[in-house]
Formats: sequence, C-alpha cells, structure tokens
Amino acid sequence: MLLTQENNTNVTPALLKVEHLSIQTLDQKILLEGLNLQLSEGKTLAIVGESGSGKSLSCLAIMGLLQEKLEITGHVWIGSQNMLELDEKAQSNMRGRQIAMIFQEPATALNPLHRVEKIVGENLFLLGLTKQNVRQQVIELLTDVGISEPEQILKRYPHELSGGQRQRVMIAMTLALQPKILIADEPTTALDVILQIQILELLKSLQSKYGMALILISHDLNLVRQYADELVVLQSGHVVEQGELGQIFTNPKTAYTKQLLEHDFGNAEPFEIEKNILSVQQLSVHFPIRKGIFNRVQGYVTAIEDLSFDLTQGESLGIVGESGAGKSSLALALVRLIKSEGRIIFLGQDLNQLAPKALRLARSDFQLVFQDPFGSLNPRMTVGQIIAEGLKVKEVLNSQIQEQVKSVLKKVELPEDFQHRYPHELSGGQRQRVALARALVVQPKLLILDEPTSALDRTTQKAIIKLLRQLQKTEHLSYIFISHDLNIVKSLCHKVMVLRRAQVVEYQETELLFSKPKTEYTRQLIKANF
Amino acid sequence: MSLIVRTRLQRFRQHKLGWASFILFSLILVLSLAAELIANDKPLLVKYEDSYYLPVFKTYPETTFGGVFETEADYKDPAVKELIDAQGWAVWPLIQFSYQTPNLDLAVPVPSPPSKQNWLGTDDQGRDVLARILYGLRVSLLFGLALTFCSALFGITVGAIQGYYSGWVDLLGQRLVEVWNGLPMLFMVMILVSMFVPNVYWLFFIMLFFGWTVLVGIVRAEFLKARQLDYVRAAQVLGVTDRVLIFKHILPNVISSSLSQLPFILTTNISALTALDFLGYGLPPDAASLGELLLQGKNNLDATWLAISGFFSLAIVLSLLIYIGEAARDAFDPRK
Repeated sequence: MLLTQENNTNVTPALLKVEHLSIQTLDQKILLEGLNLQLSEGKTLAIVGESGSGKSLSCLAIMGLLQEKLEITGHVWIGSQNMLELDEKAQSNMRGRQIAMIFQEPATALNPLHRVEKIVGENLFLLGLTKQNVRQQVIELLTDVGISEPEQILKRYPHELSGGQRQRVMIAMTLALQPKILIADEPTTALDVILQIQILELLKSLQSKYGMALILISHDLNLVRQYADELVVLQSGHVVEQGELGQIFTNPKTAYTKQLLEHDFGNAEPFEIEKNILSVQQLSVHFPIRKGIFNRVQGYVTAIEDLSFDLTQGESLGIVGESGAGKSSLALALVRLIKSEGRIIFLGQDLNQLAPKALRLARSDFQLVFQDPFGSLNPRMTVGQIIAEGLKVKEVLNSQIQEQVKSVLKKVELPEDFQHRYPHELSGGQRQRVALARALVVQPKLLILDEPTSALDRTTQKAIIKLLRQLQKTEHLSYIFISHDLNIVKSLCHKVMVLRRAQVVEYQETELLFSKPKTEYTRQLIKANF
Repeated sequence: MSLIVRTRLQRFRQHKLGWASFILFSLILVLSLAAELIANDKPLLVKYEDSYYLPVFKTYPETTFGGVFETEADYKDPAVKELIDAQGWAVWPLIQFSYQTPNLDLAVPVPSPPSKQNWLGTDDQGRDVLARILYGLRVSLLFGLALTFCSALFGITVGAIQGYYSGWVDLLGQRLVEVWNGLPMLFMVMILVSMFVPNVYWLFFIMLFFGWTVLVGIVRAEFLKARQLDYVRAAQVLGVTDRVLIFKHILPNVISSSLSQLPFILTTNISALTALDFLGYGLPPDAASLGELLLQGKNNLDATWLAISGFFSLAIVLSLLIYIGEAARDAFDPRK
C-alpha cells in the first residue's frame, strides 16, 4: 500500500503501527476488516466515514477498550509493545502516558461530581505529586488549552462550563500525562461550527507544542481537510481509500469518497410570488425561572426576542444559528406548542389568539417535522397508523384513509407495504420519510422543519434534501427550515435569517447573504461551513 | 400481541427465579381458590342408594341419608357416616376439616401438635392449621389483589391528570399526595375500623382510602416526561385530542413502569392486612387469616407449630411476590 511504502523510506520511527486489525462479533458479523496504518511523531491521520463505519470501534480497539464479547485479531504496536496482548494492568499503564483519547460528548465524559481541578489533576495525583504541584500543572494545562481565567475555572463543576470550555477541559485532562498519541473521536460534533474550528486549531497547535501524533475521527471530510496529513476512508468496516490527504482530495478514487467530498447541494428553486400566508410580528418567547415552594416566577430566560418576518406561498425561509440561539423555540412557538407573545398571523388568523378547539382544527394547515426521527415516531404504532393519525383527526372516511396513506408513501418514495412495519424496523432516513409523510398527508400549506437532516448521515441527508426540493416544486409548499448547516439552507431557502442569542443578527435573501454578509458573525458562520 | 409485549414476556420467562416464582404463586392462588375442594368437612361426592350427591356445592338435610334431623347433615357425625357407608360410599377431600371445624376426636388438649390427621397441628380452638392457612391465603391474596388493582387504577388516574395538565393542577395534587402519604396508614385504619363494625368491605374501602397514592408519583413523572417526547408533540401538532393523546400515546409508556410495581404493592398490602389482623383490627375474629394465626402463635408460645407455620406461609408468599416483582421490573426495563 501507498502508506507503507512511504513510511519505509521515512526516517522517523512509527509511534503507532496497526497491522491487519479486524473486529468481528461472536456470530461472525464483521465490524472492521484489515485495517493497516502507521503513524509517526507530529503527523495527523484522519479516519473518516459515516456512522456505523467502524471509526470509533477501531480507535477503541487501539486503546484496548473494546468489550470482550468481540473477536479482535491483528496487531497494535505502540512503541515495541502489542496493545492487544498486554494484560489489563499494563494496558492501563499505556493509556494516558502513551496514548490518550478525547471523546465526542464532553458533557457525559466529565464526571459531574468533581471540580475541574480534580478532573484534570487526577492522573497527576496518582503520580504522587503534592497538591501545590498539581494545581500548578493543572493551571498550566488549562492555559495551554486556551482557557483564559484558569484560576477561576479550577473550582467549577462541569455543568457550570460552556460546551467549548468542557471540550477544552477534556483535552487538558488527556494531556496531563503528556501522551505521545492522541485520538480525538469526533471532538467537535457536539459543538457549533464556530467552536469547531477553534477546537481543531487548538488541537493542531497542541500537537506541535507537545510533539504528538494525532488521530482525528470525523464524519465530515471537509472539516479535517486543513488538519490532517493522511486519510483513511472507512465504509461499513472496510477501508475504501487510504493515503495522503491532498492526493485523495484532488483525485478521489471511489464513488463513496466523491460523495463524502461533495457538499454542494445546489441552490434553491425559484418561486413565483403569490399571496402572503404567514406574517409573524414581534414574536417573543420567554421561559420563566421558577423558584421556591410556591413556584414563584423569579425571572425570565429569553429564547426569542421581537422577531418579525413574512412568508408567501411557495417561499422557503432558512433559520440558522448555533445551538441555543432559539431556533427550536421559534419552531415550537410557531406551532403553538410553547407560549409566546406577539402575533402569528397565518392565513388571516392570529394563531396566538385562537381558542384551543379552533386551533386544533386549524392545525392541519401547518405541520412540524422534528429533528430526531427516532423519537418522533411512536414505537407502538405501525407506519400506517402513524400516518393515518392526522387523517383521523380531520375525520376522513376510513375507506379514503387507506388510499391517502398509500399515495403519500409514494410521494416520499417509500414502498406501499411499509405501512405494516414498525418504526424500529426502519433506518434513520426511512423514518424521517415517514415523519415527512405524516406531516404531508394532512395537506399543509406550511411545513416547519427543525433540523430534519442533522441526525442522518451524508448520503441520507442528500436523499432527503432531494426529496424536499421535489416536494417544494410539486406540492407548492412553504418551508421554514431550521438548520445549523448553511449548505443545506442554501440549497432549499430563498431567504435566510441568522439568529444569535435570541436576537436576529441578519435577515436577507440567500444569495445576498452568501455573497455580501452584513455582519462579522455571519461571515464567520459562512467561513466555518465551507 | 405486539412485538414489545412479546419480547417483554420472553424476557420475563428468561428470568428463571422470577418465572418459577410466578408459576408457584399461581399454583398457590389456584389451590387457595379451590380451598373448599381440598380442605372441607363435607365429602366431595356421596353415593347413597343409587343417587349421587355433591355436598360441597349443595346442602342436603340429614333425612336424605335416612337420618332423623331435618337440618343439614353433619358428615363428620359417626351416625351419619355409618348411614352413608351402609348404603353407598363417600369420597372425602384431602383434608377433612374446614377452617371453622374443630377436631372433636382429639385425645390431647388443644392446641395439639401435628399428627397424621392434622398435618400442621390444630390451633387453640382445635381447628386444623393447614385448612386455616389455605382459607386464610385466599382471603389475603384476593383482598390484596383487589386492593392493589383499585389503588393502581386510582393512582394512575390521579397521576395522569397531574402529569398531563401540570401547572397548578399538578402543584395542588402533589401537595395533597405528600400530606396523604405522611398520614400513618396503619393507625388511621385502626382508628377508623374501631368506629365501624369490622367487615371485609369496610376494611377494603378504608385501606383503599389511605393506599391509593402509591402509584401517583411514578405515573405523574412518566406523564411529565412523555409529554415532552417528540412523538407526543408531533401528535399534538396534528391536532389530536387530549383523550387520544393520553390513552394512545402516553399511557402505554406509563403502564409498563406501573405494572412492574404491582407485585411490590401487593406485598405491602398483604403484610398490612396481616398486621391489622394480628393486632385484632382486621377481618372479623372467626375469619381465617394469616395474621390471626400469627396472633395465636404469640398467645401459645409453647405450641411452636402455630408460629412456625404462620411465619413460613407468609414468608414464602411474600418472597415469591418479591421475585416476581424483580423479574417484572427487569422485563419492563426500557433500557434493555
């Protein structure tokens, strides 16, 4: 292989050498097959693939952290020792000193009962350092990972930190014993785009400072582009492509890699200006903070403040912003699942003034599709029952329900016999199609989509977007599309609204937004996305 | 049967101890329900002069068998026995005593130790202990099951209302339930029972009155959680009515966690009834009950068989229920 040839001529010895690593379950299902890689000091290797392709699994195997129920064959040489043949005690000696790992979700990887000082310094305490020394080193580490006031952070618990700070603390924790190899398992997936870049930059600078070898795991090929030297592309446990990053980017050999590389979904379909269907005026959402035994309201958290926009039939509006910007609150407020102030004039009626019964009757005209297709379908109902529910509310005759369910399944490109299946028998993309079908069957005028593709992998995302564009054309639907992914918004929406901390930062035509962003924040967002 | 129910049932059966306990408990329940056929002072079947009689199910006057009195035949009376044996035969149940029949043939003073005739001995009124356990179990189990069922029904209803409507309804309900739970149930029942003539129905209503709160907390929490689930919200967006939302989308989530609690609630109810009987505030004095047996054991410390059989029958039934509860809890665990 290309990689091995290159490394044979290389002078620096390999820190990590993985030979023919294969993992399978006891019933012979192959999870990973024949992974070979070599990593030397100061180099960065990226492992990229969709969820379930074996990225995390291979790294857990390298760390010796896989459960015993799996059959692991091959060799993992760290220095002169084979990690797979070491006993438990020797393995744990290697971990931390030789090889360390950063996990995807910092919120759950940090012990919620310990303060930052203890979390980061735990390994140092175990070395027998004095308290004073440990504190000194922890402060140094925290400074290294870019935390501005380390003395104050020391005393905090993980829940008192922001997402970015948590990830930094976790990095500091893994650096405590100065490992030679650092594995970062999707270190930025749980963060929003601007923070993603910061964390990756940080990892890169730490790498050169500590002289580590870095393994970067990601599902997003474009994200690792600027940071990795070599690349392994995995697809369902098999190595699809392996080699130098630049080479693969300029000349991808397989269709799969090409697909991963492509992130341009195209531009939105033009639409004819028709009558206005939705007009939102000064919409605000506040969540009360309640305290004490009588639950008295002590103050408010503002999720959305003074938001206004208009939407015509067939037009699509994109709402973008980082997590916590108030995007989902807006969606829930528009469909009146949470309380809001202001006017939501939809087809001439103010939804915020409607009585419960009138609201229930009006509901079929605006529908919401949720982010997580695993949670939004009742596991106890068949696909047919799920789709038919809205029709029953509309009091459609039983004989017609069957027909309409069939036709809507066809519309979302699912076979008719899917109506007898249960949600757990379907894949993520299929479930999202069912969720779409449930919303479409009641023939709404407006469809609100709350990050409908963020729980799906790249290929499925693409198929769903294609479907959404098609529906936009054939059904003449208006979309309010909520997303943190500007690529997708660009491909679907005519106007974009950028939210940040409950406020509208920018609101204009999609093309203008991308060509001439008005604010620095939008510029940053666009830069992080492309 | 849906897939979820089937896999849960399968998981329950895989729990060996729990499944064995369940079979054993069902057996005990069936046996105690058929107590009349196992322990009775009347024969199961009598053949007398070419006709068949079923004394367990029907009362026959002594004159039917050629006796003198027009009252119901006393089949244990040697005179009646002789009459029947002369003209036919009689099939007796396994234990020839009912819970109220004193053994009049005893040569030793009561309470008498276990013998061939009275396998677990007799109590201080000469009644067969095994027969009394069998009848007592029936009362305890039926009473406990009915009480559990009714309090679960009340608890789920109140919890559902609190959890679904939340806000003020929930706040008021929650405070009420907390105060209610703070009342010492046993003493309240004792006070109330002494105000009425003790009978099974009064006791049932009084215990239900103080016991309905057990499930409220769980159901309320499950409802609060389920209300936030995406599929519940999706149904809300479709304009589904509250009734459909509660019964079709939310309640099935609640049922599993409540069901796994039922064996434990049943255990509490059975021991509460036993405690009341033991203290003399429970069922009427002549009724067969486990608590009454324990009381006799306490009053006749030299007759060890009373306390021992009372203790073991109670311990076995309660442990079986605990094991069933454990298995049910594991089977219904959504994380598996």
